[in-house]
Amino acid sequence: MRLRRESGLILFWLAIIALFALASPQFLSLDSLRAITNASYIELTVAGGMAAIIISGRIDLSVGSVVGVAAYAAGAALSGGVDPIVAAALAVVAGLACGAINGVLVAVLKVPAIIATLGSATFFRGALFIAAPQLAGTMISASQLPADFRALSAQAIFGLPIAGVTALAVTALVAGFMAWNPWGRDMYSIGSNPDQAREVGIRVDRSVFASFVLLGALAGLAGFLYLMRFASVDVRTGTGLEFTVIAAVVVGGVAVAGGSGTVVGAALGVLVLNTLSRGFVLMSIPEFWKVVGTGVAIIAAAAFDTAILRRHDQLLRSRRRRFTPRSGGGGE
Amino acid sequence: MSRIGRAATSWEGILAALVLVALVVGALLSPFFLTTGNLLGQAKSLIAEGLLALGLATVMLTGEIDLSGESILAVTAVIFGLLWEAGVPVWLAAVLALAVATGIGLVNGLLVAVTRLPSLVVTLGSLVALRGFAYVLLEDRPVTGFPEEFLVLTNGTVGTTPVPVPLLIFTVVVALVAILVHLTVPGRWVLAIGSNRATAALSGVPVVGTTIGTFALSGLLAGVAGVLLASRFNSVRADMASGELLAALTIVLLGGISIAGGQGRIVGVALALILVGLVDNGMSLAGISDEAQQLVLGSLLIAAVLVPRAIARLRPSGPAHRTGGPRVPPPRPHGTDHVDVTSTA
Repeated sequence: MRLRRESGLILFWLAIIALFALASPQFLSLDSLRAITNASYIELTVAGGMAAIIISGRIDLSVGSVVGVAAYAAGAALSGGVDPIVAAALAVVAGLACGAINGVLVAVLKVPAIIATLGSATFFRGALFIAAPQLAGTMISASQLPADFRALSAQAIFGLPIAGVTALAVTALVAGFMAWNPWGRDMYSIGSNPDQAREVGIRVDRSVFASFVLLGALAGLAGFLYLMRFASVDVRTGTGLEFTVIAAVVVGGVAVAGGSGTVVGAALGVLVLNTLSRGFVLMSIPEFWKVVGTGVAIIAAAAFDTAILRRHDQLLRSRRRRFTPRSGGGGE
Repeated sequence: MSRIGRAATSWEGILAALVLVALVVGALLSPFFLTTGNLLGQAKSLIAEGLLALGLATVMLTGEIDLSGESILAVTAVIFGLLWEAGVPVWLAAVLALAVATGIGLVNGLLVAVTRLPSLVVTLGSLVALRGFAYVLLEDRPVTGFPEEFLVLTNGTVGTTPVPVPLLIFTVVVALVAILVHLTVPGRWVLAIGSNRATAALSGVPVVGTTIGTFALSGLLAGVAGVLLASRFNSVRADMASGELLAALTIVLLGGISIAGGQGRIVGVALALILVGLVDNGMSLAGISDEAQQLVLGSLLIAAVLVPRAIARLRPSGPAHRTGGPRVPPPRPHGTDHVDVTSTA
């Protein structure tokens, strides 16, 4: 079932690649591929963490703000002459702190995730707006960043840029955790049925808290990658990123109701959306349609999931009826 | 359980008290605060948030959510502006735009009620898609220069009184929504669905139709807000009301509407709107920047969930009013989902 869902996504991906290649021969070039992957690294870095949170039945709308805060923190530190490694660590710590705030709100204080993270998103962004003029100004441009840092984005490891290696490593790590680690399996249980997860002894609050801290740290890392890619940051950096990431994750087959989906699927979702976006550019479709497409993709993917889920339920129910004479539980 | 005592300690009573506190604090902060001119002017600027909040409140009473209000507002305003620019008479353009807004709400409602997609996802999708669509339609330019008779809609006053026309419109809308929700049969359906969808369905409540209706109403109210904003600013842009979702959600939750549905009163939403307006206004007069105000609003949103829950925990004997549920969910043995239809009179 799981395998089939991802192979379907790969087929869909190949289909749109073929379509775009027919429409514009430029599409099938190394440059084009590089443009798609380069555009994907930042989103890939947070997609796994977002997938984990959505699988547990929660959501995080503050990712864009956290990326902005972390990118700014790293930029301010670099412009002050701090070593790039330290700046990267600072970005991760800043993201982690934001994630911990979200985690406390959701897991400890039991504020519904959508409200907690919508509130914290404005809180983080507002704090950045207020603090930035006192730190390094509302915008940090390339000239304020040290030359050795700017050279960093051009460096490659095994032919991949640093951002690419980071994104791949993070995706592999989170995918591994979600597939084999007890915490990852707990996230699935929590998303499927929180009450039962508690009854079987899963420490729901702790696992949920950990997932928000993880996504915070990943968003921090993504903030650093942003700074590396664009060599500039301002107080609006990352605005709206949460929507593209959520769209990618649900397109990648993570059920918004929680309980199912994979990190690999989410990563594929990022690639699919960026391929579409690249195709739009080559076919000179206005940028704004991309936003429309993101929104439609969220709804379409959810509709697709619900259809599958319903089919699955019907199958289960017909099987259950065969084995147990009594029908259990109520339903909607 | 005296009636007066209960009214005073009800959530709406607390809100009313907070409004008074805000008035006193504001008056102490600035001599301009407690003037008719300031208060009425402020009331005018709250109308978009208020209409979005009313629509959202109605949807949330059924246990669903509608995040797309601000984008419906923008699309409606943009369509209104384009129609007017194309030579359609201004009032006809307004009516057509409202029809579009209601239609968008209907589509949201259909997706939620018929296909049973989670409303959070559907309206998150339409929040993003419709904002993008507003930009596709109008790009970065404004449409401006509406006729005088249209501008009176928000900039005029009622007769010779200093009461702005939009305040009158808004008061009427609040009253209508309050009557609809609390005094009519469809209103009881809304609350019944929010309390327990399965029970409501078994009791013969038209669940699908009512849910669609609340989304359509939410769309319509967002549309009204869009047209009123067009009149107020004498211009429309694709980025109108961007970020108003935060304010609307804050007002609704602060107003005592339960996120789980079924609980809350429209009068609470109106009081919360006044409270948020006074706080905003007080901060502006005190010279606090817009960004800092956003930060306060974000904190207020979270506080709106936390504070009532803390109150409920301190007062275990009181009604578990509008709280999102106790810390540990009560044991729910299998089989309690069975519904005794006869007892739900």
